[in-house]
Amino acid sequence: MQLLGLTLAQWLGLLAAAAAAVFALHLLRVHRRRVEVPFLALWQQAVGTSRPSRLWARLRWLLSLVLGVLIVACLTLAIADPRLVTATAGGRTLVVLLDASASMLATDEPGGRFEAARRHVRRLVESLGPADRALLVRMHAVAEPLGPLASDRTVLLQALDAARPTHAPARPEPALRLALDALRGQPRPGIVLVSDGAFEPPAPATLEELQSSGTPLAMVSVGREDRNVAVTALAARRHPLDRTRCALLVELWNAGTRRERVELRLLGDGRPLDVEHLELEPGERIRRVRDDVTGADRLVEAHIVLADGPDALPLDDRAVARIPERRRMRVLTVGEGNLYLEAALLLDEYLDVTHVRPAEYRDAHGYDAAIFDGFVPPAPPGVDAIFLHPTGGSGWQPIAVEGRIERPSFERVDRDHPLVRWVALRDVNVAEALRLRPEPRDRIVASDPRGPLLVEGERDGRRIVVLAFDVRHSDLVLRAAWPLLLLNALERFAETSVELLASPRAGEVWTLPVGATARRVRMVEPDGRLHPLAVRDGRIVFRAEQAGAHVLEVDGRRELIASQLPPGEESRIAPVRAPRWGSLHWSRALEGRPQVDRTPWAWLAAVALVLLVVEWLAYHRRWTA
Amino acid sequence: MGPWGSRGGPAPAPYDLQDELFDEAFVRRLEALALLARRIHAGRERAERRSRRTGTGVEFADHREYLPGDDLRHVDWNVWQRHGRLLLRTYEQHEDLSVHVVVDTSRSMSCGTPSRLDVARRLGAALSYIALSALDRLAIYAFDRGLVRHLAPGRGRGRIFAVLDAFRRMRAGGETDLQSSLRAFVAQRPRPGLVLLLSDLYDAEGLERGLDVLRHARFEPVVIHLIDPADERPALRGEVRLVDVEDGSGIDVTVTPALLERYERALRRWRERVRTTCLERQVRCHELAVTTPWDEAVVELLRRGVLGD
Repeated sequence: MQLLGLTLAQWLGLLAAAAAAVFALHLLRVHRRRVEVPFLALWQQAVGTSRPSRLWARLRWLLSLVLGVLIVACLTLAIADPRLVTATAGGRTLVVLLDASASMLATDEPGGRFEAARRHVRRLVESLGPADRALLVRMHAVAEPLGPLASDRTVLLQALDAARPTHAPARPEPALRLALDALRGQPRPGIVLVSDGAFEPPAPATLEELQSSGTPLAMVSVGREDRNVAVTALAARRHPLDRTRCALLVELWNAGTRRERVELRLLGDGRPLDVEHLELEPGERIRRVRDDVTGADRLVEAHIVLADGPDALPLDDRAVARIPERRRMRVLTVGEGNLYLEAALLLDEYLDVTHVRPAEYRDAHGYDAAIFDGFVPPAPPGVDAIFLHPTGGSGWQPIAVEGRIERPSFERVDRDHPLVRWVALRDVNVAEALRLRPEPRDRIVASDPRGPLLVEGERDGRRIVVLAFDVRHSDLVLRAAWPLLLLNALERFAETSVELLASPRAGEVWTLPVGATARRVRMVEPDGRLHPLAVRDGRIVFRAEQAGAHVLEVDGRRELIASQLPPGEESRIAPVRAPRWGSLHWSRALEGRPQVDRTPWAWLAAVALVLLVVEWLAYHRRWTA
Repeated sequence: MGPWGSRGGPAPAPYDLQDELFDEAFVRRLEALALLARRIHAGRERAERRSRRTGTGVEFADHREYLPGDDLRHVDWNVWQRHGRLLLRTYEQHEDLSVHVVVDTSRSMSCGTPSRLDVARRLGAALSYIALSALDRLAIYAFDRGLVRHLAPGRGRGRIFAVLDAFRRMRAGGETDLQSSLRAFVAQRPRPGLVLLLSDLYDAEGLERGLDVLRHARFEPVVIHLIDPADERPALRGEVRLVDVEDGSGIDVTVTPALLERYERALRRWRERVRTTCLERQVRCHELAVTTPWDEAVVELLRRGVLGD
């Protein structure tokens, strides 16, 4: 036992002074007013006491004095703040990893899994010894410390109360890395993971480092049920030829261990599109593709309703996806006249095409894209551009030309590139092509062994697509590939792909182009929270914590972004008591009751209060004097 | 006729009429009360009060079984002829009534304003005068722990000054011991009769045994219980030391409304016990508030038949 508030001598002095004061007050107790009554027996009946003996009177006085001294002894000792020596020596350093991933929003615990985890952490913090220190870390896609490494419970509990769950996946890897870094060199380290175990194991290297450090790792498991059916994927695309229609892809997964009957509801812009009843075996995934969907223009939603009542994780029973925007595009063509080009552009009714001759060209201001056919403008056009056979430049060159290639062939084609989607170039015959020298960051989409034939790149913040030959000197214009190649390039400029537009996932880092001139950019999350974002190189970077419809505000212009839950593990909500991580052994020492700080001063104050009440009662019942 | 009236009353005697207790107004009021008492007991002349004794009077009282040695002249032969039983006719004995006024002079009687002792002395004096006016035999006693006879038994209104003197001499002091005092009273073998007991009855031992002593000695006790309304709700609050005015013992209490409630309940229980004790023993008990004017109290007592039928 040691005193933290006062030295022993100070405490003894204080106690002696207080006891002396109590003794003096007892001696100097004010005499009571004396009142004569005709018949004292009636008052004795009312008070309920008998006449005390002289000895008892002295004992009462003594008892009262003892109680008074005990009260001041407790109070002075409380001021001295005594602590057990064992409680102040050798404190531990704990890192508590609080799982804040999507699966922690399961409702199978009172208040939800996250609240159950918060309660566990609260108990752990409240049971910390006075010399213990703890660091609370919110674990989801990244690891976020909730506060400093502290021993003050108030600080820790405030940080804990401020913690919020996310829709992101749980990744123990960065959390364990952070914990190991924080615990390096700290006395008696330990890591407590409060989670439902719905995550992928960390990297073996991290586990090896954990084991070699000797840091015990304990897990407090939350969760009770495993019943869950999830919408694991929802994607939408516009029809390649009829942009008024779209196609949907929905994937459902029964992550539970029982057969489920599910009603799948599809909504477009809030209006019902389709309802389907499905049965899923345990662990079964079902994909449904809906072609030729009409009635949805911006947003589609997929809801599932379980016939046997809601599952434990309602969060993944709903998904939203954005339909690629359908926008009329203004295109400027510059050249001496190319019927094949004009004919190909006529295929897309959403293109407003303006043609000028090279001599009439000034700039491309006011257009969304430009196509230069056998002509290179004297300066960058300032818009996304397609260069067909870029010759004749008198100053600025979109790409360096080093010669010519006779009868090139498309030997190599990057079939995964969006430019050549549905485009067959292998057997295209070309009479002659320019030998292009792309810049290091350019991407060669198709090439002859002697040089690139189709290149995509970026100049002055604008995309360019360069075709190395004159299409009139090839049979490309006679093929379906020609208009598709042009449209692919223009759609890529407009970012209105006819691909299945996969929604970004919560927990991922989104890098979104907003334009180099954007000034005020904000992201509005589905729950209404606003995040001002900085623009770098015409892009913003944002890590989403929530799934759902986000709104990106760029200088007052609003753009809808639909994000979805992370796939896979987050929907597998069966609680795991101790995940198998290689040969790692989970510690039990940290799960129990570590050291309990009983804060003796508070107990002493409480005892003093109780004694005071006892003395008050005893005094008024004439047990004490 | 007043005590110093011209028509056969006692001659004026040297008496201090400046006395606060028995001043001139008090003495004048006594005569009026005596006349009132006569009207209340209209038709009763001297020695006409019926005693509880049966004896040689002329008024039939009751029958009793014949016992050998009884006077055959009193056998009711009519009953014998009808029922074949020998019954003796008994008659009420007419004799003058002995009135014993016994006043509690313990220290507790000094409490209150007016003090219970002053009220007891005035009432005692008034009732004594009325008794003397009715030619009853009157004796006056005071008691606390023991008994003191202040006036020997005697008759005649001429004793009024001695009566007033006797009451004037009474002083409060000592503890109450009803049983011992009444036992001492009985031990003096006074003539059985009416015992007017004026007291606050604040005796820890209770009233029962004292009354039993009187009843066993064939006295007819009448209890005049003097009550001070101020006792019911004492003006006390806070930390006080309550001291018994008689024995000096004390207790420390914190007087709260709750304690006053409990005290009031204890007082009510105690008064109820006094009433029950008297009722069980067929003893008349009259509660009299000390704040009642003494003459009104006397009239009330006369109406209740304190001095007999």
